Amino acid sequence: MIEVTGLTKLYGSLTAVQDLSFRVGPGEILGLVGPNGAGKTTTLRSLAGIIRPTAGTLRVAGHDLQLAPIPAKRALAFIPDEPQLFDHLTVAEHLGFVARLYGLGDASARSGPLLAELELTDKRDALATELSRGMKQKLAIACGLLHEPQVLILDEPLTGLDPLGIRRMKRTIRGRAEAGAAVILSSHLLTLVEELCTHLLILQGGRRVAFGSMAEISAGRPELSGRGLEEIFLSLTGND
Amino acid sequence: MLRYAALYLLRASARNRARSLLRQLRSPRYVVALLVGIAYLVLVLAGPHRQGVSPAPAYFLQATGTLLLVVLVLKWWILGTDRLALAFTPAEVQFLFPAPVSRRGLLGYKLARAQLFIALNVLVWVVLLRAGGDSPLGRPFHAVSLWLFFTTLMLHRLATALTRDSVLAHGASGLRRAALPLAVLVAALGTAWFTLSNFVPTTDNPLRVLGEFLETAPLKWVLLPFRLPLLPFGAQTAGAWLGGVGIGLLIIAGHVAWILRADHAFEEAAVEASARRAVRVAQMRHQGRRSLAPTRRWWFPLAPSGSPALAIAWKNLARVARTTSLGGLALVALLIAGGLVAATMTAPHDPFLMIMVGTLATSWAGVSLVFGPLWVRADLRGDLPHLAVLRTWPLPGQVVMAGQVLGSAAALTALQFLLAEVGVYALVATGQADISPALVAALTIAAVPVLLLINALAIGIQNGAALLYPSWVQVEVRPGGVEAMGQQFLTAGLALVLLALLLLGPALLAGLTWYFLEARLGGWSLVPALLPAALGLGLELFLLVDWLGSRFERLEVAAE
Repeated sequence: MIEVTGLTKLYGSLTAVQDLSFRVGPGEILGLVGPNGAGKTTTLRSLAGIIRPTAGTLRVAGHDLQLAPIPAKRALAFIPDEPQLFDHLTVAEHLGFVARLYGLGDASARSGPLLAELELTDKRDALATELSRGMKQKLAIACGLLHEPQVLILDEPLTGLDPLGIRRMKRTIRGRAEAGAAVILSSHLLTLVEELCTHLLILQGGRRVAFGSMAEISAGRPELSGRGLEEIFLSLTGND
Repeated sequence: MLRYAALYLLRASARNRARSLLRQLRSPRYVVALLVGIAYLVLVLAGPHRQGVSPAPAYFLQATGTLLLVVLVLKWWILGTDRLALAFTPAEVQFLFPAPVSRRGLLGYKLARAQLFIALNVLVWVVLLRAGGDSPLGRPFHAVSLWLFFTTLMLHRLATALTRDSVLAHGASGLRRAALPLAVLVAALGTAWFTLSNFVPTTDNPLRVLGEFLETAPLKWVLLPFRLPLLPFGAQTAGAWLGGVGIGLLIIAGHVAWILRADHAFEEAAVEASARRAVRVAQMRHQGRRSLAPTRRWWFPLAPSGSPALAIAWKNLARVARTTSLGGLALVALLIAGGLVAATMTAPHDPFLMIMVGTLATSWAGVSLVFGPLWVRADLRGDLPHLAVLRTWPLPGQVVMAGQVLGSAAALTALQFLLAEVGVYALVATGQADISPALVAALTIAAVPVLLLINALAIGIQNGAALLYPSWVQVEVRPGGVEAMGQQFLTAGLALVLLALLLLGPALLAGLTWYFLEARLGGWSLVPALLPAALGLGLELFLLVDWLGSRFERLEVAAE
């Protein structure tokens, strides 16, 4: 579903990501973790088609993101850590607008349950500026989920959500994976990653430090066996 | 303690700003922008002095200055200042308010920082606008007078905000809060009425009459507090000036004491005002100049299916609709309608008003054709903060850019069409333009697509600049500095030259068609002449949008 081969991204003389390869299959949730400046956001933004990789191949739902960006983007949703909404559109208008962009036809049948799932029904006529930080995050998520993406890329998805919102968001992420979506979740909340993710990709300095399921990673480093993600992370990134 | 911290903050900020500017100057485009900005300043500073314009008479300045102060002060006291007078920046709130700094220290910091802006204002007035050139005492004296005046205004506004907040905190709201100022206003109006009933002017000059009226007792005593800050401006000798400055300093000292003794929780009001300012700045930075009205209805719902480009244009037009002042629009519409009605009624006797309405409307249509693309920014320029989101849309760059260009072009064309219609109506009605109504109708219909295409080209060029140099055009709150001024001149100038070049071909096509058909069709030849022009413009627009689309797809969002 997601195949990254030899991804390299340079910003001038700075190497943000170097020769990164990984794969996320349908139903899998990949936790992307790493210290600040490890290249996580660059990786996510490359996968979302926001920035162009310097080298490497990115395939989303079987489409090469460079050669066939439109079908690739149609299959994915990117939800950034800071919700980017249009202040002058209401909640309902955001969904109607996204439906037009993705050619969904009449999306009211989809948007109703989605708004209910994310507790936005009462706010459907509110402008984005009138929403709290958590509500904005939920709206960004609703916009991302509207076209039922096969690939879901989430950057710190729980920022600003209340405890109930967090619980529901976790359920939503799991539900999408169980429905067959490939999910990448980037977060500094290692407990969240540990709880939700089936696989793990640890980056440091733009390079892959570890990739695989927790069991696979532990198997490669017997001394990490039985330890929690936080200890594994700190150990692998040399901060233990 | 705060004094040293504040000085350090100012020094470090200035140093870092300079360093940032120097870093930018490694890029040739910033060097060019800086040179253009400096050239403009040199031209303004060393250019010829205004000649042939006689200075406004002193009695006029005194009268208008006094009235301006009266209006400002009444507005602040009755309607309230917008409390932004109390505002700090978010960083100041975060660092200064929890710090062990007294309330007096915070206020002192606020007042001292305001002095920077006042000094800058004085500099602009005296150096750039050459205010005080006619003063008998010279510009340096005028600069001090201006400083006193601006400082008094700033302090009074701050004091008003604090006092009104204090009254509110003590439970008074609405009309009760403005009860005392309203009572003062009623008393002042009564005094003015009493003065007017006994007033006998000695001249026919209306401005002198106004000056005399304001100088007549008892009104002159009511207006004395408003006249005192203006005394230095009218001084003819150094002695009189010194006297005026002394009074001005006393007024300032009184205001400072007033502010420092204000019993209301200054911090609370300031934090609230700061939060409001932060929201307003964020909205301006991200969405345009105006803050949004709460969920104003947008009367054109988006159809569930159709072209994504139209959806993008719809989104941008929603932004225009929700950020445009309905009251302002209604006022303009009322003025135009009222002007037209009045002009139509008076035209049979005197066509002056109709000619004026027609000339104004057509000239504004022309001005908006040239400068409209700089003013209307319901396109990629408004969407630059959302570039990352735009890049995730499953659309070709050409579709995205077509939608972006269409929104602004449609809004601008609608405005120009209305203005042109009013202008043509007025000019035809007064016989200034000898065109049959049928030809007017035909030309109107044929001109709309041409106008739309021209606007789309002009907006496309502006969007091209945004794609090539986003940091030059993205900020609605304009970046300060000489280089930013140079950037604006450069982009506006180059865009106009480019548009002129693009219009050459279609204009030539239209001219040739008109030339060959004019003998046979007369005035009607203008209608078919617009067709090849529209085709030429359409082709150019297609190529421009194609280029914009490919440029959009190659844009390095993170790098910019």
